[in-house]
Parts: sequence; structure tokens; C-alpha cells
Amino acid sequence: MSEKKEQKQDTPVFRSFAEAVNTLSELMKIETAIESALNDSHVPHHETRKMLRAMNTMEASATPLCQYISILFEKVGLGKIEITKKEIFRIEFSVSKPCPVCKLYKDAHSKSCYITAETLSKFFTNDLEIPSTAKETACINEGKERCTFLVEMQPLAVYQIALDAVDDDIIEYIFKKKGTSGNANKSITCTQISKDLGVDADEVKYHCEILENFKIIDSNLNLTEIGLAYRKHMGKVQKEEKVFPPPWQHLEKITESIASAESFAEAMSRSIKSEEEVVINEKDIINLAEEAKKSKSFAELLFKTLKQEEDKND
Amino acid sequence: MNAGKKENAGKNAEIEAKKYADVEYKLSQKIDHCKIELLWHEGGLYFSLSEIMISHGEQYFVIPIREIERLSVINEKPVKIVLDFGGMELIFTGEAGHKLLALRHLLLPYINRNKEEKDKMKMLLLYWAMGIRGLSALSTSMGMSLEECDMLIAEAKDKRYINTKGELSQEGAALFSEEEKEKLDVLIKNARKRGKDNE
Repeated sequence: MSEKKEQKQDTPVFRSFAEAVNTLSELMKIETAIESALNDSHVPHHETRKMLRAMNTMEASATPLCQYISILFEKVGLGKIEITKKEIFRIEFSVSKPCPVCKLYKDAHSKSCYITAETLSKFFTNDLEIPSTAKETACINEGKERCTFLVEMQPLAVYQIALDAVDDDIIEYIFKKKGTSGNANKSITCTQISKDLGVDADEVKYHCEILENFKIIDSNLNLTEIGLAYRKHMGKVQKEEKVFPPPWQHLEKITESIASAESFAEAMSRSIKSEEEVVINEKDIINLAEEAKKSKSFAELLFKTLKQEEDKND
Repeated sequence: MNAGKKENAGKNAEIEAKKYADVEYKLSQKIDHCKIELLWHEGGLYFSLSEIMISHGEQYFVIPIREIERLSVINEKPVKIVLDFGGMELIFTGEAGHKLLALRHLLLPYINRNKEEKDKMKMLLLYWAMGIRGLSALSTSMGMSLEECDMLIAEAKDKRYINTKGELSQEGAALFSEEEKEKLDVLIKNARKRGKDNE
């Protein structure tokens, strides 16, 4: 067994320089494409709202925003991504075989798609304005059928964007009718809300379903604890809603900037390929990890090294 | 020849490397919760098939990839990356931000595998210290196969995390942070107390 482990320690991480350099070139292309694509991908709240309000996975997948995510991720080289599970604060995305990121790490028999997870997190945080974390929960490289990513969104930001002015009016109406204690005995109906607020009855019904899904009200149209807290702080958390065209309306421009970013990356990777390999002599090597283990002597060693160099320069 | 490393299998054998980028770097050492800044310098960032290295004049500081515990972006513009290994910290930055980010993503799957392995070892040592030492009980508790678990125990003994008396050694305890050690002590005491009560 120990032989097996030792062998693993000695085995190089990469099989050859050519393979490592090719992977680096591909990653550089993806990195530059991502930066360029995300810079142009700011999404207006009314579009994000459609996805957040989706009641199930299928409904979420059909929103223009989800379709845009799918197109964008494929364009930057992260593969065809799709929503596979939608909850109010969590969204699961998946990439089916073949996953282009997994292919870059042939020898990694573990989770490999950090770049995809980080891109999801950046896109949600910066372009949708919902602070989010994303992690890979399963990977083709560890033998799973597909790579899956879980995006966890900050609840307050989700409420801020997902709920609209009509929702707020309904919440305020219910609060005024029932008060903080909930006053569950005082029943309210959608028809009554519709009549008093002057909003179509079907629309009120739809908004109440959304509010129930977000745990703001219960099935008897009572404000929940979350609902009361939301109402109390609503004025403070409301954001000004900027109106601008969604990024999928200028997809051609985004595609162009991805292409020019990729040619820039191509030039950078040529410069790495052209670097000659050097052989570093044993006497010039300080293994930091080993020296760090002898923590007291390391500072001394470093001091000596610096001193030698200073003497040389003098 | 081991790819990328010349044949003299000494501790610091010659290394074949490729220059990757020009960087500015800061090297610090963490001792007893203090961070001592050792060096702030400009140099080349190189990589070989198993290591990354930074040059300091004619000297090369080498960090084996498998020893890296963390590799995170601490600043996006300009890109600044922090790398932790064995109580040391290396922060590097450079003009070619995308290149540095690509290198980080190249290394991440190999680094985190280390962390997962270390976490598994720590989990084993935790159960071991609590007195759970039967192969079957350990494999069930840790969600591993009997064979995997047996290999892990053998590795713990090999690396002397478990001493010849079959107890958690100082080397084994050193894998845990101070905070984890405090929790570990409580768990061990409780487990021992329960053991005595059962007797």
C-alpha cells in the first residue's frame, strides 16, 4: 500500500510540457472569453425576475435569461449548460457529456470544473446583482453521468428582485387588513384584493401564488414571519429599477468580442509555447515546502540567500 | 527519467521548467498566528510537471503542486493570487492577469484533491482518537469501502500519524488546527468517559 501511495506522490501532475501548455492555452482562451462576455452581460431586473419567479424547472428553462446563459456558456467554451432544478434560493445547472472542461483534465479523477462554477457565481453576482456562491457537486471526471453545479443565491437579493410593485401592494393590503398578529380570523379573498386594488382577479391570483411560493404569505393569505419581516424592511431594500435592453438583444456584439478576446489569448499562448524549457540546477533550488517544515531555519536560510545576492551585487 | 525531473533522485534534483510569466511576489511565513513577511520581490514564475517555482536572482523557490493547500484570487484587477502551503503564503501578481488565472485553474483540480485526501485522513484520525478503530465501523462511519479504509489506516501508520502503540501521535495531531484540536480534545474526553461508563 505504501508503495502505491509513494508512487502517487512521485507521479508528475502533468504528463508532458506540451500537454500542460495546451491545457493552459485552452484555459486562457476561456478566461479571456469569459471576461469579455460577462462585461457585456448585465441583465435588467425585469428579465431576472421572470427566472426567479418560475414555479418549476421547466418554466425556468423556458425563460430568455436561462436560454441566454446556455448560449453564453457554450460560446465561451464551458459546454452546454442547462437548469436541472429550480428552488427559490437555489438553482442547479448541469453540463452533459461531453464536458469540454473535464476533457482538459484527463488525469484528474476528481471534480475539475472550477472554472464553470466560478463563472456561474460571477454571472449571478455581477450581472444579475444577486450575490451568489456556486460549487460543483458532481463531475464527469469522478465518474458521474454529468457535471452539476449548485448556485446558492442570497435570499434578501432574491426578494428584492423577484417581487414587483403589485406584490408589494398586495403585501401592504394584507398587512393593513390583518395587522401584525396575522388576525387569521379576518379572511380575505383574491376577489376582494382585486376589487380594492383595482387589479384583474386572475393577476391577483397569480401574484398570490408567487408570494406563497416565496413563503411571504400562507395558503390562507396570511403574512408569514418572512412576509412581515419583508414588509417591515421593504422600503429600505427596494432598488431603483433601471431599464435597458437585455444582453441577448446584442448577442452578435458579444460573440464578436468573445472572438477577439480569443485571438488575444491565442497570441499569449503562442508566447508560452515559444518559451524554451530551462534546466534549473540542484544548487539553485530551494524547496519552500520542505524548508517551511523546518520553520525556524527557513528565515535564516532566506537571510543567507539574500545576503549572498547582495554581496554579488556589491 | 521522471518527466521534467533529471535522474539524480536527490532531495532537490535538477528540474526542467518553463517560464510562464513575470510576476511580483510576496512570501510570508505563518508562525503561532503571526505572519512574518519574508520577501517582496520581482521575478519569473515557472512551472514544471510537478512544481511551480519563482525566481529570486539565480535562486529558484520551488513549491511542489501536491503540497499546495489553497490557491485563491484575492484581487481581480490587477489579478492577485494567494497560494498557501505548509504554513507559508505566497502572493503573486502580474500584468498578464488572464495567464495567472489560467494557471490557477490548471492547478485547482490537483490541489483540491490534496485537500480532500487530507480531510479524509483527518476524519480517520478523529474517529481513531475517539476509540473507533474497527475496520467495519470506520468504513461505515466514513462512507468508504473496507479496502479504501484499510489503505488509509496503513497510510496513517506509515506516516506515523498513528504511533507504534496505536495511539494518535504528535505528527497526527499536527494536521489539526488549534481550534480543531480543542474540539478534538473534548470529543476524546467524552468518548473515553462514555467508554468508562459502559465498563
